[in-house]
Amino acid sequence: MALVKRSLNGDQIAYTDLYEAFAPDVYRLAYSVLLHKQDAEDVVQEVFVYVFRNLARYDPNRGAFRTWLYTITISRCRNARRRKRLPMVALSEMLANGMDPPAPESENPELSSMRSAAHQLLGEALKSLSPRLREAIALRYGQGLIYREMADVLNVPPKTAESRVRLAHQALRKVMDEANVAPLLEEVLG
Amino acid sequence: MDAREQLLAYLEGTLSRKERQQVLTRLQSSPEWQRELEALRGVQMQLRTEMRLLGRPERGQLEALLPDILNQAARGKPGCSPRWSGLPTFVLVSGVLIMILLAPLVLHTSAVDAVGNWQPNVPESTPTLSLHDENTIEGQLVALEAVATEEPSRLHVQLVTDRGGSIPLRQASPISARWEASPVPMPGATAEPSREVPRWR
Repeated sequence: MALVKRSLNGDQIAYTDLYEAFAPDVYRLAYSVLLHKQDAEDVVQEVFVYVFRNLARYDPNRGAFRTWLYTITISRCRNARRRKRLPMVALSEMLANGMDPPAPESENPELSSMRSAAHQLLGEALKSLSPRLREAIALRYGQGLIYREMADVLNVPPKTAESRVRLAHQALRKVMDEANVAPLLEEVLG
Repeated sequence: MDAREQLLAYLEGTLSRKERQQVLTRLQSSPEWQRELEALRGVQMQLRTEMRLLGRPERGQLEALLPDILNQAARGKPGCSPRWSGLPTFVLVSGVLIMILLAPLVLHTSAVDAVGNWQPNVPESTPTLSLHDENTIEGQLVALEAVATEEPSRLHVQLVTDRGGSIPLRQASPISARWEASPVPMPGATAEPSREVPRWR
């Protein structure tokens, strides 16, 4: 919160520091929800322009700065979705944007191939989720929020946040089961 | 809650102590539940791992957006609204209140010269109501002046500051309502025709 205070006191460097500290998480959240690089960048831009203009409106008594930031991010993601409807994402683009982390150098080609297949499958499974469920999964597992924090961000009761994660979990599990991915995952996670 | 829901809630840590104990008891006796728990745990681990990697920005990707963000944010900073940004709320509220108070009267707009001198352009026989109020705001004296005339029906309101400027807040068009009752003198107002030019200091 020191960064917020410094920014409010007119420290220009603090704005940059604030951006560097939070922009990667905002981008990851936006990308996880929108599954589109350019749209996620646009959201980052909109979020931080809004935040810098309205920093004085942030009330620490109402929640953590990160929660406020994510609330704005989710709102902007929904706007972006409304603007253009979620486009179908080329799997190659998804993989190029972080779905496929580089395999350890020591990993053998067979395991590397299985890892890649598992990532692809998860990507496909994520695409099959509704936007609301993808938001829930992105906040819970992508950002590590607890259900109470998720409820604040999504403006729903904690039980609703929990049930969205559960539904998303079930949907993802179903896709993975259908693809018989369990052995693959066991091997990769091993 | 079915078995899968209970097990996921168990993994997510959202069960009550009693529910948790029930699940643990069931797990000890049911290989089916144990298999299901392991499967759910696998998906959960996969999600935790992959979702944290999903959408990692490339090097320099977000930094490139920053200059534009800072420019846009600076352009839209509050406090730059064009005309009334410097006016204290008191002045604006007073102006609106006076306009409302005088609205039932029959009104007339008078001319104001460039330095804020009050020069009612009113025939001598026309009844006029004038009002003058002042206040000190941030060390600056601000006066609110209003003149209402019956014939023609106009209201003129202006703000004058002791730094020589004036801001006309005019109700230029005639107001249709006519004043029938006798005027009740308001503080600082006179019901007599005001032919004397109220000057700012």
